[in-house]
Amino acid sequence: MTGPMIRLLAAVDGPRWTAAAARLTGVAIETSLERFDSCDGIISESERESTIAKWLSLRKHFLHVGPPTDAWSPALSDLAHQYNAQLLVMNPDRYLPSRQLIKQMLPDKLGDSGLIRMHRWSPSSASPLVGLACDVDTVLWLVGDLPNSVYALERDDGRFRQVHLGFPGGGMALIDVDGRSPEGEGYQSLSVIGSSGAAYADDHQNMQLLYRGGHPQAVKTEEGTKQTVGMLQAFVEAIRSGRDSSENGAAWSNGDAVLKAVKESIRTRQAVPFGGPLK
Amino acid sequence: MTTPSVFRCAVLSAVKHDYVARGMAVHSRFQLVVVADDPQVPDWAHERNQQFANVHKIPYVRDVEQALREFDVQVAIVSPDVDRHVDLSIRAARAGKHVVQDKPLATSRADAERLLEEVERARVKFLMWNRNFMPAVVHAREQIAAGAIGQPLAIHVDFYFAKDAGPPKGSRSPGDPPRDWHAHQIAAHSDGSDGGLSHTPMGELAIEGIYPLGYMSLLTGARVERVFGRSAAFFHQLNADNNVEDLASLSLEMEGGLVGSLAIGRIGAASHPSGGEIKLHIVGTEGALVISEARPEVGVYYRNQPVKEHRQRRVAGDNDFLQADSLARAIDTDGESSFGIRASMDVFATVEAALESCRTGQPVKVY
Repeated sequence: MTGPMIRLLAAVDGPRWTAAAARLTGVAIETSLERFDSCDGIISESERESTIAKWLSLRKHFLHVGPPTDAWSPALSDLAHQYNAQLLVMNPDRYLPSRQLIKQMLPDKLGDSGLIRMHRWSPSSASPLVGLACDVDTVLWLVGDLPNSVYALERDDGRFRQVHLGFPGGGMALIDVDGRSPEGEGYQSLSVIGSSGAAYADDHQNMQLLYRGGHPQAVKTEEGTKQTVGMLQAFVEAIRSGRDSSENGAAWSNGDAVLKAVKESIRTRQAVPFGGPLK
Repeated sequence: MTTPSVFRCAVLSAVKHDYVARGMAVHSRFQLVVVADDPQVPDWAHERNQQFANVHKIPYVRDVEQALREFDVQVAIVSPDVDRHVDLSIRAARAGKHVVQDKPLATSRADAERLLEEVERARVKFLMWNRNFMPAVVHAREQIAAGAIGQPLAIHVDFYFAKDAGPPKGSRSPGDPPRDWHAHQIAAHSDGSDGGLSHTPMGELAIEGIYPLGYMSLLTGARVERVFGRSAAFFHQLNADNNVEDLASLSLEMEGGLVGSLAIGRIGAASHPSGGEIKLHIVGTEGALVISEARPEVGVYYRNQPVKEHRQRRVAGDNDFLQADSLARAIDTDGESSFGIRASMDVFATVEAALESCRTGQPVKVY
């Protein structure tokens, strides 16, 4: 869908969004706050709820990249609806080409999801909870259903969490998020075992070797710009179509409810029956 | 007391995995001298035993005690249908023979405890067949021992066999009888996927759980204390009809605060081009390891390649020799084999607790 030029202010990581916009038609990225008034929307990774509310009331669309902290609430959603603005919170992992491919293969090629396994290791300076929120969202997105059982373990004051989900019909998911790695690059892996096939997206498979004496180093070939292009395209399409974005908010509500059950399971050391978010 | 330079071995039934006996025979200190089984086993079992004896040019004796008594054997290699594991192993131990047993240890807690007691009372060595000497696992152990990742904090294992177990779930027509577990396992011998050969249906945790749980024990030195599990008969009509899992996931709390997890399944031949993804993730205080158990491997592709032929071929495997070697050393030094009766009992207890957790939906203490 094309239409009038859409100008977006990238409040973070300007060069990345500018490069992505160059792949799309009718999208321009501004990186200076001085151009705020002329922009249709803002892209950010961390803003206060009050700031977002102010922007929405100015009819500015808002894209938050990453799990919501203050970026989504029923009140903000209502405000966006009132001012006819798009409020989107995107899990960037969903837009990785590898995850997009796996999603496309479910259920036609891979069948029903039986066991989803995710590993995410990051240095101690990164917040493992942010990664866990993304991983839970990715699992719910891939399965297309809510779990009926949540069990979790925690070590080192939350720097390690392991989440074990059970789904109606027998499906299951295991997620470990480990923030105890040394400083440096992290590691991610996703495998989906389906009833008629399986997919394995693992950093291990995408390592190249660098020889400089001694043991060779493993160097990862990243998935490139398409992740950012995908997010930008989805945001622009939402703006152009003016579609209802409540589904986006509902997805995060579901994820948030699972994370609350995770905390409850860690506290009680028991599996927690899950009935979905409180209405 | 000196030990023999060559250990004479009786193969007590070769109806299931004959690779156990063949594996022991690759070591120059183990010599297969007789195959034996009970006279009352069915004809198909006698036929398999006789075939194995013929291939190895050794006699087949339809009397276990006679073979143990008259062939001057020091070691019994036990691989009958699973229901008879404990019976044959105990009879061998009572006769003073060291025991090499196929997995799983037993089909019940009472049997497992009886076997433990008899092996220890007889003061014979016990080796549960395992995969702890696969080259990549040995490499991981060496890395950890060298301090490459510091002290292990967490270990995660994926253990998938990309095999079918008959038609897919949902394929049974109305009015058709449920699939017979024992009959299927007898037929599955042709491709070696008859690990669950028994009258008692068993899921993947019971049949194959020893392998990944063995890795965890080897690489961390920690026992499992508490387990939470989920399981499903997800893929195969055989498993659904017999109410045993072909897919499972476990969260494990281990000694010293370690955390483990296991994803295991017989997930269908279409799910992997080379037999299944088997992977180990070990996180330590100073770093982490990601290990593909299949490596080293060679990619082999050619015109008209059979669909079922693995595209990645494992090479340089030394698991058989090193297991046999561990038993030889255990006998020589009166030490412990690489997978002794106590370690086997730990795995049995973990699987037992895991299955209970899968039934109840809550974590279960192992010890």
